[in-house]
Amino acid sequence: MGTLQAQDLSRVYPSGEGQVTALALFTHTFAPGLTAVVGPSGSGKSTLLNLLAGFDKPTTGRVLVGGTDLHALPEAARADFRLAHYGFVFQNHNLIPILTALENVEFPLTLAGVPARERRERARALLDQVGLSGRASHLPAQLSGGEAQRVALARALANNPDVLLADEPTGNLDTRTGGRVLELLTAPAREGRTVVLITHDRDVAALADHTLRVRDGVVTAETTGVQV
Amino acid sequence: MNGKDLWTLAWRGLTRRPVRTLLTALGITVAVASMVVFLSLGEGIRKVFTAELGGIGPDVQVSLSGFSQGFAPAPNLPEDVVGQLRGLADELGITAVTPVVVTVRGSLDVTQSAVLYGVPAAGGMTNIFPNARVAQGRALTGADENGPVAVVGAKTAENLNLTLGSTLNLNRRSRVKVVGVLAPGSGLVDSLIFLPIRTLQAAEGAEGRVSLVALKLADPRQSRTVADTVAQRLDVEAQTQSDFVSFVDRALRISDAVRFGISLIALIVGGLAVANTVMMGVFERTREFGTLRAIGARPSFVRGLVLAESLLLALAGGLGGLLLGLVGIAGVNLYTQDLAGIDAAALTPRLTLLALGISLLLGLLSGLLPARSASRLNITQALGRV
Repeated sequence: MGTLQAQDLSRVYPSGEGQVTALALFTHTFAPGLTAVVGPSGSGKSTLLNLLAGFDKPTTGRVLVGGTDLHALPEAARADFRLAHYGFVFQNHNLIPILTALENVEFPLTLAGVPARERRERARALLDQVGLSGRASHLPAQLSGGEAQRVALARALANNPDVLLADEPTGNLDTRTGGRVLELLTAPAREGRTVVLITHDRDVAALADHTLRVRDGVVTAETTGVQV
Repeated sequence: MNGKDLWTLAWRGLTRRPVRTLLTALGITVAVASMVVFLSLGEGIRKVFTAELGGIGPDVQVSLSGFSQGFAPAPNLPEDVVGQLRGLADELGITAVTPVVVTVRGSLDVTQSAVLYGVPAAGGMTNIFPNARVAQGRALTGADENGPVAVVGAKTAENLNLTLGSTLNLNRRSRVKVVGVLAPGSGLVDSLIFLPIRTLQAAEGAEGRVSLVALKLADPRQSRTVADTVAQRLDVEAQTQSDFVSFVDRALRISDAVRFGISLIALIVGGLAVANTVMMGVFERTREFGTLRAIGARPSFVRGLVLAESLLLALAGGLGGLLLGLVGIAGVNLYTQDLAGIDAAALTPRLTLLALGISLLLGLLSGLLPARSASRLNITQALGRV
């Protein structure tokens, strides 16, 4: 699968009798590696991620993943596409509370119809990769915030996605735990996947290969390398 | 995702709040149990009639009003019809012509009620009920015609506290003496009292009239033809055993419909409880469903998951309802055995299937709206990302 591209992407919300432009004509090709999108609250970062993920429909423009127009797909096909090509890490881990850590990691594979034994092996390997093989049978409520977020990261990687979208993944974690999660998040970027990290934390953004600064729905700066 | 994984997930979704799930399932359990007990009455009575039909007499029953007056028609048929029928006996292959007077001795206490059957004292009882056997005393004989005697069914003897030699008051001016008690286990016959027909006619002031005339045929397969001929020639109603079965079946169907209608109220309440529980579950798990959709679950998967939860809940309630219904049926049968020596309620395979089918339908209908809501969640709103 090729690159992630946004072309003339904008999102306008109705607000009272007027309109609010959350994102204005955003065009960008996300190169493989880690791209940080930084900006203050309400700057349009999350709107951008919603559009890149196909959670929300753009007012104009399109999102191309390896040439496929994400928003042109019907809803069920878009869900299948996300399952096959995307991984997500949210600010809150958003694990399924009734499933154990292992089952949560397995879940995308279960949705994809991967046979039980195969998906269990893959999930165990991923949990091992994030250092949680000893917590496989624990429910999310029995995990610490950092552990839950690492399980969420393992789940995001379960389907071997081309694109990994992370929205403030360290926002609810202390510095040390957050550092561990970021370390794990940069690994897929080093492997050549496209990782988009939404953050308002400059220290976090400093780890990125590319940085986009967003303010009032507009990209105000674009930098490459560790220089934010 | 395969079906097993979906059902497992649905089950775990339900067990996350076990008390709420249990209470909702109990609501369905009670609703289904009430339906099972209500409808089991019809099933039990059907079974009793089916089992006893061979032992219940006439191939053709002649009366003035057919079954429109139920099983105890008033004595309004002129008795000379009996002679006319005897005149047709050779031509139509009639082997026995038995005039019958039926009256009901009612009471507010059903255990004190009885059906009085006036038959020719000589052989009248066994003409109509060939399986009836006398356990104590003796049967009616030709010498008893016009006599103040009676032979009582086992259950009636027990309920009315009658033994050999007891006196039974028919009304203020007529009383008879019990000369025989029938062996128990004859079902319907257990609840009858047999008297000489003249005795009952005199007691009821129905001299010269009978309720019905029972005909036995040499070839019972000709009963339809004989009934039609008799009805046409004598201008009376003539019914066969299959008419009787149809009548019972029709009466039970109407009764089933009424009882089902009553239990429907409980079912609707149970269904609303399921809908409420599942809908609450959907609201509480908005973020969870949003996450499922975000990571790649199709809307149809979310819909299926919610429906599966609803169906499982209804199925658990349905199975519980069947078990509770069985307890209720046992209670009903304990009472009707004591009352009339019959199991009036029965859980038949078709009632079991109906109860489970209704439960699942209830689950399906109750889950439709919550399932639709869950599958149409806006992902960004569900994740709290707006």
